[in-house]
Amino acid sequence: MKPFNRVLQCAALLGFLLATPIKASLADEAPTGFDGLSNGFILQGDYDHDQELFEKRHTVAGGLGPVFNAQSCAECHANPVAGGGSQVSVLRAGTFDGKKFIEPPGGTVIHDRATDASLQSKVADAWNVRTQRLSTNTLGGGYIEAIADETLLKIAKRQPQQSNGEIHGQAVMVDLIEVPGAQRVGRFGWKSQHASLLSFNAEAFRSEMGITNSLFPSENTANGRAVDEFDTMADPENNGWEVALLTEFVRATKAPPRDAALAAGADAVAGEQVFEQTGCGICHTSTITTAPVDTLVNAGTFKVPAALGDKTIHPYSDFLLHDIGSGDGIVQNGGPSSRNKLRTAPLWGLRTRSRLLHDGSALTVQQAVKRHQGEAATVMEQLKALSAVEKQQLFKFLDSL
Amino acid sequence: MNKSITKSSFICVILATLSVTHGAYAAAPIRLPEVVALVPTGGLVFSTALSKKRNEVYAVDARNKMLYVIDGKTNTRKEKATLDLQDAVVNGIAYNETTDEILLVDYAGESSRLLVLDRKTMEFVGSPIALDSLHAAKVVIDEATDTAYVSNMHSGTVSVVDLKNQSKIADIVIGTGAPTPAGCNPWDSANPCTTPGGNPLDMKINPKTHKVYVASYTEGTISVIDTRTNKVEGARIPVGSQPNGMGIDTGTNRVYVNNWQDGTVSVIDGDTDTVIGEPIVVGSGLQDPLHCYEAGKLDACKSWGSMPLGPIGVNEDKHLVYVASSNDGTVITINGKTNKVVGEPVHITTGPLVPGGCANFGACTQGSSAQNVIYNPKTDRLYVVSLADAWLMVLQGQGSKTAAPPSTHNH
Ligand code: HEC
Ligand code: HEC
Repeated sequence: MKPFNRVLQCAALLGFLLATPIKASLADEAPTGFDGLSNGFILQGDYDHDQELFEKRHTVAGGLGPVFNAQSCAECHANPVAGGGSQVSVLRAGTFDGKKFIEPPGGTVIHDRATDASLQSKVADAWNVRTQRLSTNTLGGGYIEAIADETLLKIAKRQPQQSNGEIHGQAVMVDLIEVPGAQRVGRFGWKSQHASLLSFNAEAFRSEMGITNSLFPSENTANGRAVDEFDTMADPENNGWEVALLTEFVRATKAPPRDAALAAGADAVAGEQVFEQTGCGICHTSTITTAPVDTLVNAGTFKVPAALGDKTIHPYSDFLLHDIGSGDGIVQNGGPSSRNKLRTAPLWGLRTRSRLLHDGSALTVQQAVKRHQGEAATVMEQLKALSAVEKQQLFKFLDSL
Repeated sequence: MNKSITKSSFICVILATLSVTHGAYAAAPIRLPEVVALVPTGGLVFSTALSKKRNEVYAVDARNKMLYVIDGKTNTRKEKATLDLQDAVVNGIAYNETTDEILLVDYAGESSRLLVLDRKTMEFVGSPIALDSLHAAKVVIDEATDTAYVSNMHSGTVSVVDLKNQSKIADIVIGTGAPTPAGCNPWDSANPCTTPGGNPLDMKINPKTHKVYVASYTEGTISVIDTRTNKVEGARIPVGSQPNGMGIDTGTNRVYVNNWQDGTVSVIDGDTDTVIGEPIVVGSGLQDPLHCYEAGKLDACKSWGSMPLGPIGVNEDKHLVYVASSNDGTVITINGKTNKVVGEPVHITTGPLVPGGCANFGACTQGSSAQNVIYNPKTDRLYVVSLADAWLMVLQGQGSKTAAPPSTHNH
């Protein structure tokens, strides 16, 4: 494939920057920090209380199980502070028959734990699609939720122009579980499978912990087998109050901060330029502005508050799906074509991750970058063409994230 | 030298006197409440209010939709004053000592209303005040400013009503606010909610500190409204599971909160608005297994625990706190000076509910539930609703029995 013309690309980038300077300069930077402090969406005392719920170890009496993956949100989302990611992974599997992906009985999540040995879920030999999914970071999730659909669609539209058509992020329209019939551009999870935090958290409450709630009222099954015999509580086990407060918590988290000392270094500053010039930033979008305050999002159910609206964030993601050759073959909400696509991993907070890519199969940043192919092929060519110094600068920059 | 000796011995004398007084206090036996009368009601009284000035108790019967006026002197209903509430479905009720008016919260229909009743004539004053809210619940009055605060369960707000001008002037969001999705109705299966919102229920006002305490039933927190700004002050105060009734000792500035699911009472220091100490276990205490009632399966509970319910009565003079246990059918006395339960719980009528937990399912074959304590400091009377028996029980605060010396009995 022909490398993109770097000059042209820079011009396009410059044009983009020039086209939106007023908006960019008006919006405040979103607060960042691994400090356990509220971003201003709620009072600190309320944040602390919500965090206790996020860290609460659920028990069978509280609805845990019968099949589940862990006992608290924080068991998987804790690094370096409550709400972050972790090395804990969740198993998914299914079958690809050469034409289409087939979900196993009970869905693609294979639950690692059960309250009774007879309920143990397992991957069957016949299921040829298998993956592990690392727990993603949720810090700064409120800002991601507050991005207008149009903003993400605009990025998707721009990408082919920036890459001779090679890069074409897919915006998946997903159901908003809280508003039957309504859809929004997905943005959360490795497959951008949810568009609102309420939807995601309600599903996590049920799928990861086995606690049914008004949005996900039926229990996980053990590979499709009913679990009623071991279920001590009537469904829904939680009327949604806990999901609402967990959602309040995630919305109130600050975005992951950069390592200030490293970020200020000359190498990292130059490295960011290299990152953009090489084309990494086409997918790993460095700067996004959230929707204006008071915009109604999530099909009108959430009004963007002052703490989250009109904020400039640096997620280094477009929240769109791409095929970069690392796909895991699982189809979620994005339809058959999304089988081998993944959401551009947001690179904010990258330095807190010991395992990389959706399945943790890369253990160093270099290794993760090397795995980029497919839509990223030309960008990889451009990466190869960089001088040793430029490469070093690029990785210094990545280390500062 | 001499001088300082004199001084310190003087201090010692004071200290000694204080400790003697204190000792005498501790030794003075605390009298337990005692049932002195019962007043039959139609069947489902959820709300009561007190007029100290008139020595009357007002009880709303939700089943036959009557407002009863009970004479505190004779412990009988003033039949002539009984009011047919007709179409109104009334939950909260409060009496305004200054204006001699009774406020009633009517949650019938799509929008709740506040009704103002002139006690003298038993006629409504003006037209109902529209709250534009869903399922308004309780009401408290700030008599100094002639303002009412109404909790709207399913709008997730507290409405502020200017009683002088008979109009709503503000809505204050409590907890996570309204249930979602917008416009849902938790009581309408065709239009269900997926999150319950802040669910503000019981409230208590401390006029001295200009604060209204609001219990967020589903979220297990108390929000504090400053009546001077009509804004929520500070962070929510986490208490136990499903807080639903409160009492305030304005002398000590302590707020007592019933945690229905836990079988406990939380104590809030009103100076700092933070919880102090561990929750006080009352009556038969915690459920076994904990929070089994929430399991929603009839056989989930081995023990239902005490499930304290409704407002808490406070004798500010003696700093005694009275809590009703809905499941035990008892009134429990807490010594507000030590925040410890004193003596045995007092059965208000026919004993504990059979089968256990039946109050929650309306299938009791025996016993009584106790809920909603109000205390009249002028007469030292407690009024407690016995729901299953359809009686309003009248208790003498300082009854004939004293609490046994500090018991080693561990609840
Ligand atoms: C067993 C581990 C585990 C537990 C427990 C868990 N999660 Fe997650 N979480 C994950 C994984 C894995 C992902 C990525 C899922 C995917 O896309 O496959 C994730 C993703 C998320 C995301 C999306 C963030 C993003 O932008 O990608 C949110 C929000 C989230 N979890 C919230 C919660 C909440 C709230 C709870 C508690 C109710 C919870 N999680 C419990 C493992 C867990
Ligand atoms: C075509 C879009 C695209 C381009 C261009 C691209 N990436 Fe990615 N990047 C992705 C996707 C998608 C993933 C997630 C892949 C996975 O998890 O299997 C990812 C993951 C990563 C990760 C791992 C992050 C983590 O937390 O696991 C790093 C690091 C990374 N990219 C850096 C780069 C750099 C550096 C460049 C430029 C040389 C670049 N990417 C270009 C789409 C892209």
